Amino acid sequence: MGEAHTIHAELPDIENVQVVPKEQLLERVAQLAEQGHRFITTTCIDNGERFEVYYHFDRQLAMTHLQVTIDRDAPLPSITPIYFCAFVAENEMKDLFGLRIDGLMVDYQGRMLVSDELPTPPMRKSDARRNGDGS
Amino acid sequence: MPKMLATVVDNLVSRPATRPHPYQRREAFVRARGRIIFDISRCVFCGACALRCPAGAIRVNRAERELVFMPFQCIVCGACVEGCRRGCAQIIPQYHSPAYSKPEEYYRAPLPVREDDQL
Amino acid sequence: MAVKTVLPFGPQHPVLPEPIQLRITLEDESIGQVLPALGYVHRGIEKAGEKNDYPLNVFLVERICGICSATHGLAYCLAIEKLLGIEPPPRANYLRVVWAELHRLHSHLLWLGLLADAFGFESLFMQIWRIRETVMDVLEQTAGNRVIISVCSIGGVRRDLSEQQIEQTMNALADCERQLKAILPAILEDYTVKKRTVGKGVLPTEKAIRLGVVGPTLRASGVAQDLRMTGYAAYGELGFEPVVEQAGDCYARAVVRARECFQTIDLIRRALERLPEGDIQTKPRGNPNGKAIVRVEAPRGELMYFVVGNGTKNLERMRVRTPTLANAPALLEMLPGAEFADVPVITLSIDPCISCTER
Repeated sequence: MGEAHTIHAELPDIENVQVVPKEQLLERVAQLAEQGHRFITTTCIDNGERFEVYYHFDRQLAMTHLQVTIDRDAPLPSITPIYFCAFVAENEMKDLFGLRIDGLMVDYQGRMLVSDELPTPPMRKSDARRNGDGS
Repeated sequence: MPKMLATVVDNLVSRPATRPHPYQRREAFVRARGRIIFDISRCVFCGACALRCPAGAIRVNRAERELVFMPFQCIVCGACVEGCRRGCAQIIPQYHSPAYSKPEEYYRAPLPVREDDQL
Repeated sequence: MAVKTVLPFGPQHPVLPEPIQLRITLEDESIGQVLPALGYVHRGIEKAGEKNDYPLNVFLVERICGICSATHGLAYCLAIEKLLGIEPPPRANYLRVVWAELHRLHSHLLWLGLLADAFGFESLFMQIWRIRETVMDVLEQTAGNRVIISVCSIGGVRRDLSEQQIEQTMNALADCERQLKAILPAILEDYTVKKRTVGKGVLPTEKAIRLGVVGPTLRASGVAQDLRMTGYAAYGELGFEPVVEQAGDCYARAVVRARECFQTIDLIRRALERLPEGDIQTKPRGNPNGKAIVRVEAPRGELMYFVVGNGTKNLERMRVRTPTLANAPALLEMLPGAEFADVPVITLSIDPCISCTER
């Protein structure tokens, strides 16, 4: 799990990213909550093979990011028991990427934004477009 | 109460804030983005406008020397005007009037006649 | 004996200009549980942002939300400029502030009008929207459009202001300020208005941070946080102090927005007075590559753009976190326990923008 988030020195990148294994995510989020961080949002990036999920936090205008890299079919624990407000962002990821999230406090079953007719999650990249640049 | 009285008098003597629209129209501001027109005599059919159009409202056919503009798909951002080097695409402050259908506008330029082509 | 009723509030409701449904479980007159139903206006703009060429996206992101479109354009341009490594000229930075603040002014006035409308105070609603019209006229005179002004472009701004326009803007601002000073006491010191807002939908500081609310909603709960303090564009040079209220109820939110109107007018004046001479556009070169996060203060709160480029004309990912997305969960905490008649006012107090929420 530790190999993710390769930093290209020459490219602009976001600062203060902490790579966290999936198992320690809830623990780390609970620590941030304890320190009085405000949850901003989550971002899911489909790099063609796996999902990179970023959790953005803010404390007095300084941002902290947690990054979890998971397989496309692997479930991710929900952080809604700690930050209730994350349910909108997590349901959105579930809708648009088909990410599996366990333990959502408010679960729309992947139908918060999209309708029942939609066959596949729209933001998920097809395997054909696997360009492997990993950014 | 006297404070109120001033408002009452003010409202009695002042003109209404609205205007009866179809009979009395507001003068368009000089810089307003009303709609796009094309001066086709200047066009070289390079396609720079079509490439820059975020709404895909312009089609340029170089071989036929034809420019098709869809005014009801246009968002009047003015990107084509900035991209046009010949001054063909222009923006005017008058808005497009409402319409029942959404016709496309065709602009055609005659094929240039070269001197050695003449019979 | 309490009878439980599930009542759909929306998607079409007189107080909501946009479609969102709140499924409210009522116990007699008080609210038990609230569940929002979204998805009525989802347009897939994040996906469209990956398909378009990156310069065309400026026009796309401005259409995420009508009322804060200038801020969306600004945030996107700042993010792409970060990736390309270019710096807009100083005059462009000041002009960006002017237009972004004019947008904030008209957004706050729109909201104050809607608040008056939510009480059923129709004439005040009309009065405030008349003031807003002066701001809209300024926007049309200077930028060319009333709402979606598309002045930001990557590397600068697309239009310049002439001396005459600066003077016109100054006059309009003075006019606007004078009218606001006459009208705002009517809304903020009125007995009925206070009765409907004071102590309704209270959000204490701790809870506000935990629920992740942003913008005027957060500042009304006593947290001095405003992204303009980070000094993007020209805010760093203009000097800026956030407006803070302590009560955390609907009234405090109205006061924050009302005071921000005056603050915004001051900011525009200062920006116009100090407007530096020079170029307004740096030419963008190359294609965006890398990752960048930009946060700016939209009228409704913190707006975040997370842009990932891959060295081609298309972006790899464009994530937009709009302010209402952060403020909406707070409704689920504020509404339970309130009276049913207060639902419109509490819902409106976060200034919901559903187009933003669903993108």
